[in-house]
Amino acid sequence: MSCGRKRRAAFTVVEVVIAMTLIGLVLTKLTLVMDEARRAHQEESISMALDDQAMELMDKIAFAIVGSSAESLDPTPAAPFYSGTIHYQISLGVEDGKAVWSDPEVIGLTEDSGQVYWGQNVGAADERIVVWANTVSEMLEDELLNGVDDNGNDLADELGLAFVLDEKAVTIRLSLERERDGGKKIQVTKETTVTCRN
Amino acid sequence: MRSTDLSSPKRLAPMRAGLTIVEVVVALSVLVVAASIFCQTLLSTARVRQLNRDNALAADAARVVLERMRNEPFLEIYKGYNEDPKDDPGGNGTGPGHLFDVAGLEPLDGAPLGKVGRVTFPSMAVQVTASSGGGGKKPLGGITDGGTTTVTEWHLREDVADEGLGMPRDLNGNNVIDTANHSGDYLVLPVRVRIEWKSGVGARRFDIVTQLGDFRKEVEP
Repeated sequence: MSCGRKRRAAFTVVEVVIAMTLIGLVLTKLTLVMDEARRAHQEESISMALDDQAMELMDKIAFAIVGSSAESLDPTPAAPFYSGTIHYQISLGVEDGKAVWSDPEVIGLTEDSGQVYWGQNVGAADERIVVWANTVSEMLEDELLNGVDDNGNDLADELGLAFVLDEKAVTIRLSLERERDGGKKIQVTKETTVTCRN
Repeated sequence: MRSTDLSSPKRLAPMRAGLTIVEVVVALSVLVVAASIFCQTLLSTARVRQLNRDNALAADAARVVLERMRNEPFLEIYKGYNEDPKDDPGGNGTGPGHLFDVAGLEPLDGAPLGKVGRVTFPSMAVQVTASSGGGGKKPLGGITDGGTTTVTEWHLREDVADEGLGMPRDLNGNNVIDTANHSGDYLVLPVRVRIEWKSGVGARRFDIVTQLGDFRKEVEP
């Protein structure tokens, strides 16, 4: 005698729905985690690249100022004032018992393009200008254009590159920034002090 | 009597392709070991990165302290940066002192005043007894006993035993190593800037040892 239709083992609709819901949840969570990890990795990479760039730039600026004469520095702002540009002359050595000074040099910030430049004989026929970096923040980290000191460094509304003079010592503050995917800005800030040796 | 027909298809267990429990355990163990190695690599990379950052912070902070010292008049460096606030050039406690903070570095447990940085010279604390009678200048922070006052002063000494600072040695250029206080006539000033902080792998230390000198002659008018 025939048994009728053969029964086959299979999942019920409810089981399939539950399984698919769980798989969907897991996949969604996994995607979120992966996306977060990718963003974190990108942030870290940008931060490290900016860090390297900031250290290299700081070394260049510090090295230039260390070899200069304190008397040649211009302007000479003391806190709470600052300058985004500094003019100086470095010592080239001694000739016939007299110090020999270089042509006038300048390190400054172009505010509209975020560029730090080094210049020699600026305005003269043999002018030389080299851009050292182009990722400088408009304002120093945590500073807003509101007339007060937002980041607690005794300066108000300082730009992304700021020089402050204290006798022969120059304190240099620098913020670099870059955007990652999604528009979030990554900032790196460095501060150092150097004393003119000449 | 019931007979058992082993060849009957009904009696055979259905053959399904699958893994034995041993295979599953081995595979999972390999996966766990691989995952743990991967995680350890990530963690150690992050730790090394943090250590490098801390070291760079410490190195820069120590260099900045030396730069600030160079900004002072040479014979005021010792008085401004030693352990004794009473002899600060601008008045009692006005100098930067021998301890300093570094933003981003956590001080060790028991660090003096919770500071990570310390400046050291070849100096030692000396008990000085002075007569407090008469109209002379009264020493600061002394213990008065009868007519005399005992105060602790920090003297810059040539006879300090500190191999790291290159001591003992002549500091004032008279070719003699003596026991006098040379805080007012040194030509060479050995200095150590030490930064000690707490990191993810325990206590860390960064030292800069150098000698400051001022050999420029003032131009005679």
